[in-house]
This record gives sequence, C-alpha cells and structure tokens, in this order.
Amino acid sequence: MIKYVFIRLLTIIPVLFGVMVFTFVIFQFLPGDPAADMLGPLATPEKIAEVRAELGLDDPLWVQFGSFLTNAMRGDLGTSFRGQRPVLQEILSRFPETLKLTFSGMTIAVFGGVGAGIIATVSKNKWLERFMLVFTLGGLSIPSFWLAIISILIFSVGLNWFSATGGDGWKDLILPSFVIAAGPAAVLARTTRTSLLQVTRAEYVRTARAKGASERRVLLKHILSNAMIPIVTVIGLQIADLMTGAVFIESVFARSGVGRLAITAVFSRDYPMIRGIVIFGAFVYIFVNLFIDLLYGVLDPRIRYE
Amino acid sequence: MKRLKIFMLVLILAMLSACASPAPVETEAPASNTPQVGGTLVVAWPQEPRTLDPALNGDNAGEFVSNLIGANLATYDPEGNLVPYLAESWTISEDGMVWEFKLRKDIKYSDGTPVTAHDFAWEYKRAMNPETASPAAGTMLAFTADAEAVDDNTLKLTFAVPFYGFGTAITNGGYLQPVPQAAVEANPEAFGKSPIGAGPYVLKEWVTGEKIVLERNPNFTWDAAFTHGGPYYIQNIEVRYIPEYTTIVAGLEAGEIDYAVIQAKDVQRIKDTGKFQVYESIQAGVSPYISLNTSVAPFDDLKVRQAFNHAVDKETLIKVAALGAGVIQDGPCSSTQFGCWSATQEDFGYGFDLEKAKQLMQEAGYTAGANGILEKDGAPLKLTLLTDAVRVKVAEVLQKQYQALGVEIEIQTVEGSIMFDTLRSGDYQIALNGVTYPTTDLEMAMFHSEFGAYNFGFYTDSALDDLVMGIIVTMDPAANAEAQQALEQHIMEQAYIVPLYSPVQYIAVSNRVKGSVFSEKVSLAAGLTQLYLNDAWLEEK
Repeated sequence: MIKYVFIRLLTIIPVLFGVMVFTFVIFQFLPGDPAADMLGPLATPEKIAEVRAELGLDDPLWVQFGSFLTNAMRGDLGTSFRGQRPVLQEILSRFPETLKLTFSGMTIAVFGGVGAGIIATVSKNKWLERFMLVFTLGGLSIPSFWLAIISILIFSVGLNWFSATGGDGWKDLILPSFVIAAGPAAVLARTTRTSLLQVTRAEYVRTARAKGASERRVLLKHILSNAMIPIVTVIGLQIADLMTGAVFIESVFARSGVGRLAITAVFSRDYPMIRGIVIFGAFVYIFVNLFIDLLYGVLDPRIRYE
Repeated sequence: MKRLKIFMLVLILAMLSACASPAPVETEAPASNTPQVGGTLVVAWPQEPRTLDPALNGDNAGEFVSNLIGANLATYDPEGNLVPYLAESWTISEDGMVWEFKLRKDIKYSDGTPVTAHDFAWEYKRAMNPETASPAAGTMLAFTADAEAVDDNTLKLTFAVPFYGFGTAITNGGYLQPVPQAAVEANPEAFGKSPIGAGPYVLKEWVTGEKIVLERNPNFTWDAAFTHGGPYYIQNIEVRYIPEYTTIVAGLEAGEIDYAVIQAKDVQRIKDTGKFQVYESIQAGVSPYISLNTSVAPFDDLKVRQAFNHAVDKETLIKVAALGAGVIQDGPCSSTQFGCWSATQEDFGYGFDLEKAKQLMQEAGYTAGANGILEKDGAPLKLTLLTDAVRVKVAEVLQKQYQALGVEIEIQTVEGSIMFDTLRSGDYQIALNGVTYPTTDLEMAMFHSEFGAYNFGFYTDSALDDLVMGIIVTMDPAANAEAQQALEQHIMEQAYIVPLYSPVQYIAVSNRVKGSVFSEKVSLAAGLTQLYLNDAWLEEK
C-alpha cells in the first residue's frame, strides 16, 4: 500500500510538469507585453525595458522556463500584477472560501444525488423514477450561472430568506452550495441508478436472494458496496466541475474565493495570477483523484495495490 | 426635434433634482427630518481597487474610496463653482505660471497630525516623478514644473506653461491629495492597503475580494462653505465589490444596497420598487466616437471625413445600440464636460443626410461599383472597423448605416489594450473608440500633434495645435470660452472625428439616504458617480 502511494506520488511529477509546460507555452502565445500591461498605458519605454529586464522577459525561452520551474518548486508562483502580492499567498488566502463552498456543495451533491439515485431505483416506483430522471435532466442542462441568478431572485429578492449580495456566515453558504451542487448531484443520481441497475442483475445478487438473505442485506451488502466504485470515480471527476462552477458561482454570489480571484485576474490581464490559479487548480485536482484511487482499495478488497 | 428632446431631458433632470431634496414622508415622525449621526451606507461597486495609494492608483474604484479618505485643495459646489477646500484661498500670477495656495490651518490627518504644505509638495513631486509612473495624478500634473512649500501653510506650484484647466485637477481628491510623507516612506507598499488622509472618512477594514469599510473621521472638524461644516453624519460607508451586475440589481431590489450605478434597462425596475431615487446625467467626454486615421487613405480626404459624419443616423443608433440612453453629440465634447462650448452640440451642421454624404463621396472621386459598393480607381471601398467588445453593438449599427453610403465595413473586435496599442501605432483606418474625462483638457490629449497621448487621428495641423494650446494657456475665463469655441469649430470643420452620442448614466440611491446628495452638473459629470454626502444622513432600516 505504502509502496503504491509512493509510486502514485511519483507519477504526479510528470503530470504536474506537463501542466507547467502547457501553461508556460500558452502564455508565450498571448498578445501584448506583460511588462507594459503591468505598468499601464502611461509608462515610458525606458521603464518598460527596465521592468522587462527585471522580470527576465528578455532571456531565452528555456532560461525563462527553467527559472519559472525552479521558482514554482520553491512555491514561488510570481507576483500578482494587480495586487503586487505573491501569487501563492493570495491564492492560499482565498482558498478556504472556495474549499468551504466546494466541500458543502460536494456533500449536498453526494447525499442528495446518490440518495435520490438509490431511492428512485430501489423503490421500484415508476413515477418516482421518472420524476428523478426529469429532475436530473434539469440539473444537468440548466447552466449554474442562470440557476444562481434565478435562485437569488426567488429566495433572496422574493422570499427574503437569504442575503442577495453574499457574506461570510454559514447562512450565506446555503444558496451557493445548493446551486453549485445541482449539476454534480444530477450526474451522481444518474450514475447511481445505472450502476445499481447493473449490479442488481448480477448473478451474485440472485444467489444472495436465493440463499434467503433479507432484502435489506442484499441491498446494503451485495448491491450498494459493489455499485460504489463507478460512483466514487464520478465523484472524483465532479470535483473538477465544482471548481469550474466556483468561478461563476463566486462571482454571482459575491464570494471572495479563488474562482472570483480567477475572474478578476482574467479581466485585468494579471498573467502571473492566472497561471498560478491554473497550476494550483491542477494540483488540487490531481490530489483529489489520488485520494479517490486509494479509496477503491477500501471499497473493494479485491483491488490490491502492488 | 433635438431641441425638444434636450428640453425634455433638462425638464426630467430638473424634476429629478427637485425630488432629491428630502420630501416629508407622511407616515414618519417629523424627527426624521433632522440629521442624525449613525448608520451604514452600503455601496455596490463592480471592481475592487488595485491600491488606495492615490499617486499609484489609476482606476475609478480606487478614486471613489480615496476621495472619501482624502481631500484636495479645492472642490466643486453642487452648482459646479470652484470653491476653496483644503486651501483657504489662492492666487494665480499674471502670466499664469505660478499658483500660490494658502492652506487652512485646522486640517489634520485621521491620525491627528497636522497637514502641512510640505506634505502637498512632497506628494505632488512624487506623482510628477516619472519613476513613480503615476497613472492619473501624474497626468494631472503634466504641466506642473515644480511644487514647493513656502512655509507650513503656503504651497507654491510653478508651471511649464500656463494651465487654465488646473482648476479642475485640484478638485480631484481621489488622485491628488496630501499624504503623510513619513507613513508612506516607512512602508510604501503597506500604504496602498492602509492609507491615511485628511478626508471625512478613515479606512476601517479592507477584506480583499469582498469589501472596504470606511468609518467617519472624528478629526474632520471642518468642511466646505456650502455644507454644515463638520464631520459627516453617516457613520460607516461599506463598499461591496460585486462583479456580477445582475447580483447588484438583485441586491438593490432586496434592499441590501443603498447606492449603485445601474444600466438603462433596469431603471424602471428599480424605480418600481419605490425604494430608490434614480438620478441621471450625461457622461462627460467623447464616448463613443469614430476615430479616423487622417494620415492614410481614405480619411486623408476632408470630403470623405465629412461624408462619414453625414451618413450616421445618430437617433437610430441611440435607440438600437444604447436602448435610448443617450443624447446626440455633434461636437468633440459632451454638454456636461467642464468648459465645453455646450451651445455647439447641434450647431456643427452634420445632421443625418445620406444624399449629401453620397454627393461628398462623389466629389471625392468615388463612384458606385458592383453591389452598390463605392469604388475609386477600380478599388472598392472596404474598411475594417476596429472596436473593443464593449462597443460591438454600436459597431454593428454603424456597419449597416455605412452600407447605405456604399461602404463595406468589416468589424474587428479586439481586446482593450490591444486596441490602445493599435490606435497608437496608427496601423488602422477607422476605429470605434471612447474617452471619458471631466474637462476639455481632453482635447489636448486627443488633438495635439506633439503632446497628444490619444492623438489617434494622427493630426498634424499647426492651426489645430495652436487652437488646442489656446484653451490650455488662456487664463481669462471669457477669452478661454472663446478659444474653446474656436477649437471645437475647427475640429468639426475639418471633420477630424465622427462624434456619435453622449451616454446617459444612471445611479440608484436608496430613499433611506436623506438630504440633497445629487448635483446634475457635478455628480456624474466626471464619470465618477460622486454624491454629495457632506450633509446626508441615513434613516434607520
């Protein structure tokens, strides 16, 4: 097990390296001069040249990439043009907000989505099942951005239950969490249903029933535990959706997380910040999926990491 | 028709400003008409400031907050008259080269230390230093050669050329204000996050990405002559940074926001809540306008430029592209711009006249070719109109209107700073651009061949240069107004640009805010949305 974790950690290195190369190359193709962007339209050419030299923008590309890489390994992702603060420090200061939102969103999505999937499938009630299918179709196809605005109009402006312009309290977390959970919950509900239906038809389930195991035991022990693997995989993939969702949701609900930081950085062409957020996002995603991989072994004892 | 429209607009504005004075509300006790100290005014703003160091700041998000934390030498009263503020009085030398200010003796920073002329001189010099690369204050001090403190209460500014428009610069407390030298020097970077000023408010809290909270400055024991003359009544001002406009509108409707800039399409909706006054005013500047590159064909030809002016149906343009929220602008400045010869808004003679435009094109040597596209020497007149994403709708209407003239226009949308670089490089023929600015000094930036940072038309007209310098250096107000008129007439005789319309801006202010806060002439003119909070107070929620 420890050996497996170690090997998995090693495989992260080429993936992160790939992300680094990719972001570095992309930023080389962007129009405009970072030094000029940083200083604004009134800067003198001398000042721009000076800052270019300071930032190492005149060095050959491979030298620039080398220093970018070594700095990144030391946790130095550069300095934000806009706030003049270290990028990583700024991201980390905003990350707890995003973590709160994605964590509560994920909790709602997992319990709501998986729960709805189980109930709709197991109850064998055709209407309940159809209702779930239509409802999840809605969850899948309604853009979270639109859902966010509509939910503000209904629950904040209309019913006055929540603040329309956000805040720090736990109550302000409710509406954005539900909105951000809508898409992932729908995906999970559908995955759960498909997975359960497949497992239900398996021979070992028939055997269990033939043995005279109680329906409750069949469901919990034989069906659910075997159906969990694809569900957990999808949960891992949905983390990426939640992080993307945070970009919109944080802007609409005026929350100060990493997603909001990303939007501001894009609009003010704060290249080091954009690059930092991309790398940071990739990092988080990779670790979440490592965690999911390790979870497989817990869920299915047959999976052994050699 | 246009006169009628303008008259109607003035009437509406007059009615609105009449509404702005506190009207007695029947259901409330009369006590609510006496100012009371306290409350929190919640302002919604789309972007967060980069810094609150006035010399380093260049965005209006920072300007708005810095203007409440600090103050400058003079200010505008609600009628638009220049009145003393931090300076008690000032004198301008005969030749206009030296301005001397006598400062008030009772002004203190929020930390209690007195404000001296040395702080002014030091801060002005810091903004003037090219090393500082001050985006806004540096520009305002472009003609200032030196700033020195004669004694603790006397500030002397020496100019490179006489500068009539400097009167406006000294009213801007958002960019130009005295700061304590020691505090800035101790930690220049920290100062941008925790500024100290001599204005009516103190920074209490800045939650990055969320809000800035200001608290009433108890050391602000004075104020301009037109006010009650002491600390402001509103205890806290909370500026919330909400990037999504729809959320701002929802926040207004939910009663969580007291003050926000809104778009024309939401004016009725906000008014219908019954909880807001919606004030409106024309934006100062020339935005949008069509920039014509006069150094290349076809716009090196006066007749073509005139034809392009005649071919635009501005009334339709405003209806379609601005949802009616605009007034026709025929000259190089809008009627709310300080110093603009406002009588000229419709006197330049470029009404919508397609026949005349066609005739002018013919005189310029163009004939109708295949598909009705104009041709000259066998080459069809096809142009690429450069625009940024914000003005695409305007560009599309213009594309259609110029098609009627026989000009084929392709729209190229580029990102804001690329647009600026392209315009400055001259590598274009025609572009849709816009500049907002409170005073007519803007015309120097736009039209002077040497000093014009925004001379995107590449004008090299010595008569034009002389006329531009005329409005800068003529210190006598009456003579300056004449110079202004001559300049505007020359610009439009030469059809150097195609002015389109002046947008109307809207600002929603909660009925909780009592007292007269809006000045039609000043509040929105500078593009700043600065209300007069000096005498305003808040009713409890």
